[in-house]
Amino acid sequence: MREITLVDARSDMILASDVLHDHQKLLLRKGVALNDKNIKILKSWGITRITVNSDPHPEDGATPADPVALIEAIEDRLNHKFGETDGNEIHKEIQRVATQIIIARYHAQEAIDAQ
Amino acid sequence: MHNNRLRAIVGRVEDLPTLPRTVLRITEIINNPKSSARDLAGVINDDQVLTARLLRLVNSSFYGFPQRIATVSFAIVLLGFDAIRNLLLTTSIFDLFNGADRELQVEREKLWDHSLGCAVAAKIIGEHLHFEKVEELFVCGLLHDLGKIVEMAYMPNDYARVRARVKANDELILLAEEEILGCNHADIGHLLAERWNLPAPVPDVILHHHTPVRAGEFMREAAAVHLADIFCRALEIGSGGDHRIPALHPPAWEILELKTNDIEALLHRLETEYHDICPFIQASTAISPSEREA
Repeated sequence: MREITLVDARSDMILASDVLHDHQKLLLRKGVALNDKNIKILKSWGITRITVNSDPHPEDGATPADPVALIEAIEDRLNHKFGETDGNEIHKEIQRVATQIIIARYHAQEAIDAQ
Repeated sequence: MHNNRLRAIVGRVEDLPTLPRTVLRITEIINNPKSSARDLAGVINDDQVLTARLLRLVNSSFYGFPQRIATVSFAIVLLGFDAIRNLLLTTSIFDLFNGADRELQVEREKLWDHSLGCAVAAKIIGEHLHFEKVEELFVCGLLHDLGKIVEMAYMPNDYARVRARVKANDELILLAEEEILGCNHADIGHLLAERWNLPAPVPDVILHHHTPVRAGEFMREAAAVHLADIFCRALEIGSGGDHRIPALHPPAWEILELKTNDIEALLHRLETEYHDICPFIQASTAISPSEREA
């Protein structure tokens, strides 16, 4: 097991521990094999360091975090970011549209990956 | 104002970044009304990297010219002085976002994404409001957080304290800078923009992108970049170094005379156009070793 910066993360490296956002929200589970998509997702969440092991194969049964949880997390995150501006109609509209767009972005990426 | 603290900080920073000499020379030529396209082409042609970047860009699908453009002179005639200057500034500034410190590389890349997003957003807002010079709005958006690059590269200890405070308090980076440095990235970026002799309205927009009402004659441009910054943070395009979205400066909305129902179309355009231009700008700025040696 070794800790590396996300810059050094490469496809097929195996996570040696769960990756959490702000020590709470699970982004990727221990045992998942890294790929371009999930490295990009970790980057977008501001993760800078991860722990990986040298086993080239993911553990049996390991799955990425639930996509629904990711969508909920997007909503939570935007609520948090806009928190201090509650009540402002312009902020509310920006937040409403931004939430839709980010969710659509994840769905579009999933559709591409499924092809 | 915190001019004394700012001067003290700048005094400690021995090697503020410089723009490539060619870009400075190009800016001088473009600012001189007596200059000709031939003067400009001569300077660009002397720099192989800039020439390669320029020709790659004008021949890309982004511009969509029906025929291949083989010479710098032809590119200048097609695009005009201002567009050429902004294009060269954009590609030169990209280099500042690369550094030796691997720990900060992810952060620098995210700041580049945020800056490019703001550039696209500012341009879109400008086009929607029929601004006369949307190209300069693009540059203002791209450079609005220039001060953060200076902090990362030239004040690493101070910047580490700012980062630590942002993380501990979950607050805007602007507030952490004010507390720790006694000034903020807008002050530092403005100072650098003036040293580089960047054309108006860039230095004023950098200085006032959080408080556009103070930008005097460039209030509308500053308000456009201020809103662009909020749009990019809302769409999570890159990162400005914190996890908060600054409140909309109330007069900014009035200055721009936008309507609430304009927001949806503007944000959707930003999402589309940013993802269209992003890989292209990065590809156009990445010059291969063979091109450098050419």
